[in-house]
Amino acid sequence: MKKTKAVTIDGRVMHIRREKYYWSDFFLALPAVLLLVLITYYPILELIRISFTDWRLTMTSAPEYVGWKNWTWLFTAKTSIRYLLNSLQVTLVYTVCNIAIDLGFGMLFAHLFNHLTRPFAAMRALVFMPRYIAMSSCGIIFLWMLNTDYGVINKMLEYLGMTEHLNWLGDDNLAMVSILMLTGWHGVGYCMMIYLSALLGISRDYYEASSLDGATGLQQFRYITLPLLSPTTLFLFITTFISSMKVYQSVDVMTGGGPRNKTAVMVYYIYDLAFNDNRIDRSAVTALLFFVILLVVTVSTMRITNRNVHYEA
Amino acid sequence: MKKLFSIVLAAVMLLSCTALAEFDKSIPDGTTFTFWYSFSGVNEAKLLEQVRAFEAENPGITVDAQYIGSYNNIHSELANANTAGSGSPALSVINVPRLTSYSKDKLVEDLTPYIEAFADEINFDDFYAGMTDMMNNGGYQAALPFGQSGQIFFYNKTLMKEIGVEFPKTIEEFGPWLKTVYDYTGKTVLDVCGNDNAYFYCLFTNADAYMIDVESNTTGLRSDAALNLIKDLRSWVDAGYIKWVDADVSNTLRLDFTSGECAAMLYTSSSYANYKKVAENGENGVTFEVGIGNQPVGISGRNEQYVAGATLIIPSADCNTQAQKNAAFKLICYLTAPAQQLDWVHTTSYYVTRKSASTDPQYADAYAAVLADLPEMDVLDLNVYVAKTKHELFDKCGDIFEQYMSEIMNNKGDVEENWEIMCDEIDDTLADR
Amino acid sequence: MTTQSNAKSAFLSPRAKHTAGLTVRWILAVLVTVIMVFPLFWMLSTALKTEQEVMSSKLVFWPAVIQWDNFVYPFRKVPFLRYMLNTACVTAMQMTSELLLGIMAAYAFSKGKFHGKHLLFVVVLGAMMIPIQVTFIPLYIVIARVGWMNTYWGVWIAGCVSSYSIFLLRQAFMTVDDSYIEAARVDGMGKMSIIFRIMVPMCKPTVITVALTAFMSGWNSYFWPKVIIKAQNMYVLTVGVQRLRTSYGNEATANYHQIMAGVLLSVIPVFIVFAIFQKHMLSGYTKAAMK
Repeated sequence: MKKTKAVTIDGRVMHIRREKYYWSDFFLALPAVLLLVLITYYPILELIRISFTDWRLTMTSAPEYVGWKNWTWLFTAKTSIRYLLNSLQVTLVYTVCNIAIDLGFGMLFAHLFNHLTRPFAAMRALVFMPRYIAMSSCGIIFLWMLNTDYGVINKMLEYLGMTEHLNWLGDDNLAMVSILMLTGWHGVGYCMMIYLSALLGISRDYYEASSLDGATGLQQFRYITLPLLSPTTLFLFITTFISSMKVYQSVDVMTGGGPRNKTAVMVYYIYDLAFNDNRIDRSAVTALLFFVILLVVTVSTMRITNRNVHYEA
Repeated sequence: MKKLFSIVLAAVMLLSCTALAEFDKSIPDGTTFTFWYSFSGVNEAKLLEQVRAFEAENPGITVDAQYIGSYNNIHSELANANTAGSGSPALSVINVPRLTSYSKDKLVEDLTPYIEAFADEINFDDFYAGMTDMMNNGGYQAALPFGQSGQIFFYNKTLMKEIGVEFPKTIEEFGPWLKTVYDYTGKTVLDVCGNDNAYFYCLFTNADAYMIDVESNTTGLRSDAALNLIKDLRSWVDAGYIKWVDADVSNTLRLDFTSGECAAMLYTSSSYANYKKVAENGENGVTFEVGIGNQPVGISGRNEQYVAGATLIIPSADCNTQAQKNAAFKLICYLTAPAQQLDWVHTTSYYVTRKSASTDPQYADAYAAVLADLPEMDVLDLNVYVAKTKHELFDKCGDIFEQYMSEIMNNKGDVEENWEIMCDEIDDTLADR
Repeated sequence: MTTQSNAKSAFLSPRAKHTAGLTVRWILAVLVTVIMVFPLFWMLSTALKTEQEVMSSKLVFWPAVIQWDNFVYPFRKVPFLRYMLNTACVTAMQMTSELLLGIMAAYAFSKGKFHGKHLLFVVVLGAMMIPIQVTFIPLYIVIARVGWMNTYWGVWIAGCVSSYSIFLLRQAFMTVDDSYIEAARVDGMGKMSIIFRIMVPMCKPTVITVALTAFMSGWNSYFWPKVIIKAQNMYVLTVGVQRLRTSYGNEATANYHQIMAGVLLSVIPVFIVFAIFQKHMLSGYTKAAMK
């Protein structure tokens, strides 16, 4: 690549260096970056400061600096380790399941609804519809649908011959299943749409060529569709991963972290430390640890998966 | 001479000090303040009606009443406003368990000087002592009672008459009663609200097992009495007598009870009016009379009952002027006065907070009207209500308590093992301040 | 596997096979749709019931008499129209800023040249990882100091810009060939005209998708508005809907029928917007997802 490029302007030949940097470009990005810094990074700096104080949210006197006390608490206190490990585990379980549900069913539905006729477009729209509705409202209806003795789901299961009513929100494992049902129902339409848009972008030639070679549908899926969808999958994987790790609203509406902390995901635990225990200092250290974990996992996932992704030429 | 002079001087100084400390209770015209509350539905309408009546009586004061949400919402908003140093209301509703840490952190005003300054508008001694004690932390009166409720039993009175049994008054009578009713109906006898320790905690304290032993800073639940009680409860759950409800509680209890699926339930007294209406109109297919039962008396004869529910606080935040706080206290005086309380109770089925409401002849008509609509209120003896252990970690420990109780009752966890872990966990929490 | 399919194709003509496949696809698609729509149906049916039917121990699939009154309740109980107006205003503000700032930043990150471009982009992406439930207190303090409590600006700020939109737009802008920009520059177009007269029209589906996403997140945001808004008449819909609850002794919620009516009323504008722009949604994500 040449270092300069000749351009003719007003009859004069000018040499413009390719690597020239423009302040104007910088200023285009600046407002967005500044606002993002204000609404996300400034609070994190504050959290770092708070993590060295003895700040409780209800105290009226000024907080004092206490050094590494909260950090010591985070890594050594029994009360911290117990709940921290629990919520990490819960978050991990939720994230893995949610990614599997959203991406798996998203891909499945995308293939199912990949049919360009009007009825299918209408059905697609219906499947996507839950996403229009605020999680805070969806939670209310799911709560009622999942009521042990009077909810419509258990009544229907009873009709199908299940005698024992399931304690959806009170059982250790079912509580997580309930939340996954809500978030899966809410989010799968979005994954379907993205997969579908990617499917439409794959040239028919690949399939026609492979059909001539005698490939079966399953083989086509395995050797053509899946590799060509891998950038989409990575994109969805990363975004779903981050949003799953951050899950809060659905847990708050559905179970409030219960039963027995079995659905107390990280963000819920952090919020609970600040507002139920009034310990924002401890909440801050926990939050910072959570960010570090999230950052490390996300970056390493991107590094690892990037190698296995096939980009279309 | 010199001595006399110094005494006089000291006396003068003392006097001037008292004069300085004299509470400024003035409320200039045009005082406006914010009032946060948690009530909705009919309760909200009644509260706002009373607030408007207060404004009509005090034209110089305007109240900006704002619905914030549940107690938890109000708590986080108060904490937020405190942190930001602005936006605190001059008056707020909050639930009882928060008060200990609030008074410790001086997040709320000590109401004692207000009570003295406004002595002609509020008769503090007229409140039931158990209620105001609960809100007093070492002389620091953090709040005054407003929408008090208790953790009581509701039972199907019609069914009890049919079977010919009385609702049990002591814990010893409980087992036989559960069995008798179960043998008759073949259905669950008692639904217990299991997601809040407040409901079953009284059973433990009446068995002399307290969650926090302040002296040793460990849990008093590590006692045989507590373990035996848990074993009893578990055996009743296993026998199908008791259903321990820990999810979607209010709906489940309401439906179970009003549709005749259970004969009794342990829940909040403030649901009384609603259950009574549904049960007496047979809205859920069964028509019956609702009875109220107190927490059972313990083996040792201990009979403690606790109040919970809404109290009124004045946040200490500097963003409100003394005049605004005074106006807020004036509204407290108004809302907690016997006449207003009776009207409030009539709508909300909260407890009457004033002794004079039931004894003073001038309220006799209003009191009779309340009893006519809510006859079982008479069963409650508010004089036996006492303050619970005041500890800022009470709620936190309570969370652990209710979690392990659910584990034992609903997950069929091993009783002794879980009880052991529970006590360890509460001890850890208490040790970690 | 192969033998099986060979055997099958021996019996079925390609046309019959196609019909069979289509039938299976139809059945499955309808089944999936029914399952996915069921909670929505339940919402609707609940919104049309009486309180007795909702709170009955028997299952009522569809109300005996449709209770249109439930839809009047939100307007009588709270200033529901005002909530709609508030929500519309805040959503419009957020959409505008998210799009404007997002498009400008996306151009800078895709076609622009400046020092620290990659670092700043990482900063933008990193913001996606930080949930507001954890960081809102410091921001809240700032807003309170500025005096933006109970204002549209206060609600707007938390959703004024989105790293996700910047990312989607950047991906789309990267696919635009540099030659268009060079040509426009030679024609004497300024940077702003290049962005809004060339880049945006060329990436119209993505811009529409981002606008819709912004619309949806603005309309449905709940946590932050609830923190910022205390005054009744400034509520947004999501918070206002919770306000429709009637409780007994601060505990039970029984008026699901009225709440659901409120929820349905509050999503009608979203449905309308999506009905109009639905067809652009599909193509909008293609570019983002393919690279």
